[in-house]
Amino acid sequence: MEVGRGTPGATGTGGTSGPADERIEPLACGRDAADVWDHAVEGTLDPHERECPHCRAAAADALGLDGVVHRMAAERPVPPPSVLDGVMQAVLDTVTAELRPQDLLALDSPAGPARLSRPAAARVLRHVVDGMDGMRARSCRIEPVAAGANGGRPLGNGSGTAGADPFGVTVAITVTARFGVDLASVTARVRQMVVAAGEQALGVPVRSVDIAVVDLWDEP
Amino acid sequence: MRTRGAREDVCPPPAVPAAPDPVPVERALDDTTLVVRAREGDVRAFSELARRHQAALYRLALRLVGNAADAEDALQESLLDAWRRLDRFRGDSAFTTWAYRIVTNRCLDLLRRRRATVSVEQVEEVAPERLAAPEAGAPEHAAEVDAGLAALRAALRTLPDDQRACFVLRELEGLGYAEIAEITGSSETAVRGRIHRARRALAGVMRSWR
Repeated sequence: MEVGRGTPGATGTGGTSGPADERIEPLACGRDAADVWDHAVEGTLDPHERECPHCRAAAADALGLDGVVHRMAAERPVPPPSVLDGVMQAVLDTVTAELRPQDLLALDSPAGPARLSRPAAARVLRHVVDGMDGMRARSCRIEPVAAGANGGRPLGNGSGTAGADPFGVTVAITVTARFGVDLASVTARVRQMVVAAGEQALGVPVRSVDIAVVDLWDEP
Repeated sequence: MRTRGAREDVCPPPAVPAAPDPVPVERALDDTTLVVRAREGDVRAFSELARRHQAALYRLALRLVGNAADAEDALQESLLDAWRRLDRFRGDSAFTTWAYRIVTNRCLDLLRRRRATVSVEQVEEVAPERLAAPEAGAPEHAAEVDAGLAALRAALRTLPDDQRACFVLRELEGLGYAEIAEITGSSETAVRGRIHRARRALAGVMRSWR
């Protein structure tokens, strides 16, 4: 996170090139006052800065402030739990209020027409991938497909009937994988698991699964 | 690597795990994954993002607005803003940078509105019970017994808002000039100048405590 302090890109940009309210006046000795300040805090004062009275005064100010600033930075105020609770309740209210018909998947239910929100369905499929060793799901997009597409045939061994299934979906999922896993093997496994989850957990025939490995991660 | 959905013969179908993990799986996910999931409507992913970063965002808000009640409001409104605007976050910067920017803007708006009706001196102190012990063995209610800290807290409130924002992000949150420039919508040169003027002003106040 600390990218500015003491790096070449963090110094020498003040000077006199900016508007008047951005200018850093040099010290009487000509040194950049902000540079001297940074050097004092970092303990990297050069011989001039250690001897020059102007630089020494600036460094004394820097060190005098630095101690109490560190004490303030060490404080860890925490928000009360009610803040996050309130946020998440408002988010849930928003999600419920703004659910659109196109966000719902039609399900083949023996009790009659049923619908499931796509985010909920995606969550089920992601959970399946998350449960696999070395794999984590990222994006999961579920789209209904017209009957007859892909031959109207689900990928798995479920109950879909060729050409007569209005409930089929396609799944496009992106995953991240632990460094070193056999990608060909695990993506085949992801496909199996997604198809099985679609049929077992959702009751939705999965006609195609598009998998992209978008990142690798290593165990900490 | 991308694989397309050619049919594969699978027999028997693998069993689908049923019971959720006792520890939410989201805890193990990186911010990028959580952002993608949240953008697709996964409320739990957003909840984890908010849980993970709320303390840092609250610290920033508290140090910018100077009191707990306003900081809590600013945090709550900022997190809701983040949820509503997630589809506009493209991941060019870190989620934290983006969230810091939302909080900073909301706090600066609040300060502008407040300035019309309330003087800076009326702002209440940070409630000591909201301050977790900074380290083992630290005196209880350190803010109350540390006069220098109280003086710095008071001096911070006297800074112009843009200087205070840059100073807090740099000196208290430890961010670099480039990231602060992105958060505040300013140039790095302007950020550097504001931080330096803030340091000088605060150092002037703190000389009497040396």
